[in-house]
Amino acid sequence: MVISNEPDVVQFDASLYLNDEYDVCELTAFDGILDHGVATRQNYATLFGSKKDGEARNFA
Amino acid sequence: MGPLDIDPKAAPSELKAILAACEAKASEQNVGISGSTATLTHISTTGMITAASVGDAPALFLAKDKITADVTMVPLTRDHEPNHFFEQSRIYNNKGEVSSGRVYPSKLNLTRAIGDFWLKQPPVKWSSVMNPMWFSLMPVCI
Repeated sequence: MVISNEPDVVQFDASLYLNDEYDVCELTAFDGILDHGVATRQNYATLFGSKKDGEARNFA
Repeated sequence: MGPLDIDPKAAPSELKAILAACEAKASEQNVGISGSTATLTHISTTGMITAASVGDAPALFLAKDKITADVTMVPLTRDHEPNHFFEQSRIYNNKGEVSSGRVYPSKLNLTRAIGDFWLKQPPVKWSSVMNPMWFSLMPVCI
């Protein structure tokens, strides 16, 4: 099929961040912070002032 | 265990099963030319995040250091765009083409979707089209 419905699945162990040192959250496009279409990694990194955008962790 | 209390090891297959059910439901309801992106995430009580995505709806994990205010962002998805190397390879292997950031012959700007069944049919070979009217109106396409 040219267009596929096969999902990508990824797991990330966030347990190291679940302590008193960090405020954590998970966002999806449906949270509406950035509009669909501009909700790119780079735009989110800029919005939140991320110093590490985690690109290397975006899938093995 | 309740239905949403999923073991982290089972989460990938559980999320894939949910998306497969969405695809099946859309097929049952004959959605025609409609389609959608879909992203599911599951967070276990131990802090393991599982994300399954089809299309271009992103999911991100963010952690802000309370002292330094540094933000760490971990993308949990990647957009399934035609210009992505892996997606493009798959499309060409399935006899499709990519041009101007769109998949041809569908012209969709995504490479994966729930629904959009008319784009999931095997591409028609022009030479196999047997409509005489077609050949009388158009030059021969090889």
